[in-house]
Amino acid sequence: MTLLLGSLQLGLMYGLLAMGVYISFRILNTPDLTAEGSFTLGVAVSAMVTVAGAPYLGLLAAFLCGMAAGAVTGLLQTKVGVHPILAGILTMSGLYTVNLAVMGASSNVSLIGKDTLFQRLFTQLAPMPKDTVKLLVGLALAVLTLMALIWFFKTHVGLCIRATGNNEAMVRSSSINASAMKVIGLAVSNGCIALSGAIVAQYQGYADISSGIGILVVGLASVIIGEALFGRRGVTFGLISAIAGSVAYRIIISLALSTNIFPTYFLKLISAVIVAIALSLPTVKEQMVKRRIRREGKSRA
Amino acid sequence: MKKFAAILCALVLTLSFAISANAEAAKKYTVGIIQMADNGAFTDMREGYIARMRELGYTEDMMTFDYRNAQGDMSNLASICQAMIDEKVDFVAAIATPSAQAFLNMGSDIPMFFISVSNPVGAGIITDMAKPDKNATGTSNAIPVAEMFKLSAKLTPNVKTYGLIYCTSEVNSVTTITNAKAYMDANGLKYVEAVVTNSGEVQQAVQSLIGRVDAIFVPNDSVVQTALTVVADAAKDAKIPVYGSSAVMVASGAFATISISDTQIGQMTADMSDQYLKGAAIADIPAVVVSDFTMVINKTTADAIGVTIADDVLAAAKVIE
Repeated sequence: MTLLLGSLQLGLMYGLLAMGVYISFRILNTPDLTAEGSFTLGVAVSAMVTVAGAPYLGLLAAFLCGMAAGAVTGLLQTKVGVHPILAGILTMSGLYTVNLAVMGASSNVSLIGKDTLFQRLFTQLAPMPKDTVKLLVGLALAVLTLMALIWFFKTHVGLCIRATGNNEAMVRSSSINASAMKVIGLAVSNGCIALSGAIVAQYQGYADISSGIGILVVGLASVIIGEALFGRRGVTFGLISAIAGSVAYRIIISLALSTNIFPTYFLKLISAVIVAIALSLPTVKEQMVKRRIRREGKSRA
Repeated sequence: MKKFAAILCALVLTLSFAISANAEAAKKYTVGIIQMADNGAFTDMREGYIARMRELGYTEDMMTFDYRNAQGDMSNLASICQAMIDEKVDFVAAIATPSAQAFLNMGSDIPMFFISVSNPVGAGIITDMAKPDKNATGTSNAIPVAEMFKLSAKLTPNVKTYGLIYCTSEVNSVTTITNAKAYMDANGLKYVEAVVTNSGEVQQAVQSLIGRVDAIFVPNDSVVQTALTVVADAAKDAKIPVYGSSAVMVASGAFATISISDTQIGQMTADMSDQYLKGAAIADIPAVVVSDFTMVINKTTADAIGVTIADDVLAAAKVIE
């Protein structure tokens, strides 16, 4: 039960990451590799502010720092004209040093026994089981961020960002500042990713400089699994399915962990295979529909 | 919608199968082993731990090991810890700092033995090494930095400046480096640092040191260890000694070390688990800093860099040809 509940908790917290990746990958339509750096930045900032005694402020600070990181990538892309992939890589590797500096040149900061927001809520909501509290925190943060993003992408700026992702030339010819839109979009995207790192740090009880390794793959997989399950529709729906995809991804990992048939070192392969199966669902469905149509066509001919 | 329901059903079914399969094994001891990543040192610790438990008489009928590896992906650690709690393992052996922190933070009532956490107090796993207070105890493998430099002073007395190569992302190696710098500052030795972030950068890091230092010191760093032959070869060409932090490093061409083997750390932790199984409370099993060291010298490297070693030193050391 812990594993299933844990997958839900983790899925919701990493759901923020998935939404962040969705914004850059689908809405802005640009490959952004800043994620590995900005996620760890969120982890580091949140941990240090929590150690200083302000866990809630830690989330906000992480979000703002993540936005700054995203803005740097955006400025590199638009003002300096660096290729989007390279811009992300540059920010990501620069952030490695920044993250170490944030953590006081230490690669690991412990939050065990510290006054994290979970610890606070455990005492404030006292009789409630800890796992329920963790789930509620994940749910509340995911839903609040989701609502804020849905609102944001319906404002004038939000619509301009969406338009930039759809058709940059058209946006430029409507005398909208497409470069500014990209910078804002990437800032919001990385803000969400850092926020995800921020809550994960307090949840897992430590910040480690390696927290972000492989995180972009997790985010992309979540977005694509979400799309495989629910199809590609509007932005609102896309953001929701990103969270759902993240939960599904965690359940997949927990399944891979629960299968005791294979040796331990199979973990990554098993999760890759399950993800591949999830991704092939839409195609399989399409093939089945086509086959049915063909069969019906023949029988009528 | 139908499709989604079907997927959900399949997921729940598979999960419940997995859980029921585990419930059957609950009659004997189940020990969860959490490993962060696949590297030589961690694997040696795990194997040392398991082998020692078997030696102590916990046969396969009495004890099963549920070994999980996050394969370098930290986001998997939380799921692994949750899986262990679900399985209701009798206790957990966590290898290296993040695994131990992740499990402890789950707040379960399952006891934990940590293996090779270089600074357990700093990592928040224990408040006082002598009195475990968080249902967790284990071994710490602080590298004997002072012994290391005394060995160097004996074998290569002319060394005044040390080059330090390490990866900034490893808490174990950073701890060792901090201790090493403190020792050198106190004893009037100089040092030059070269940091790397992955094993591909090691070659350039070594080259940046050659010519500026009289010897190189490598801490217990799995990133640099991966590329140790690169360090050893460059140092051999420059005829300067490399002091490592494990026997594995000396076997890969480093000149000498004073160290404890990773297998031994695993074994010592297994002995502590044995005490617990024999009825001792976790709070009564103090965490230990492993201090049983052996000197390891690579004779081939010694010849290549033109260092002659006194016979009595050689006799006391484990010599690798």
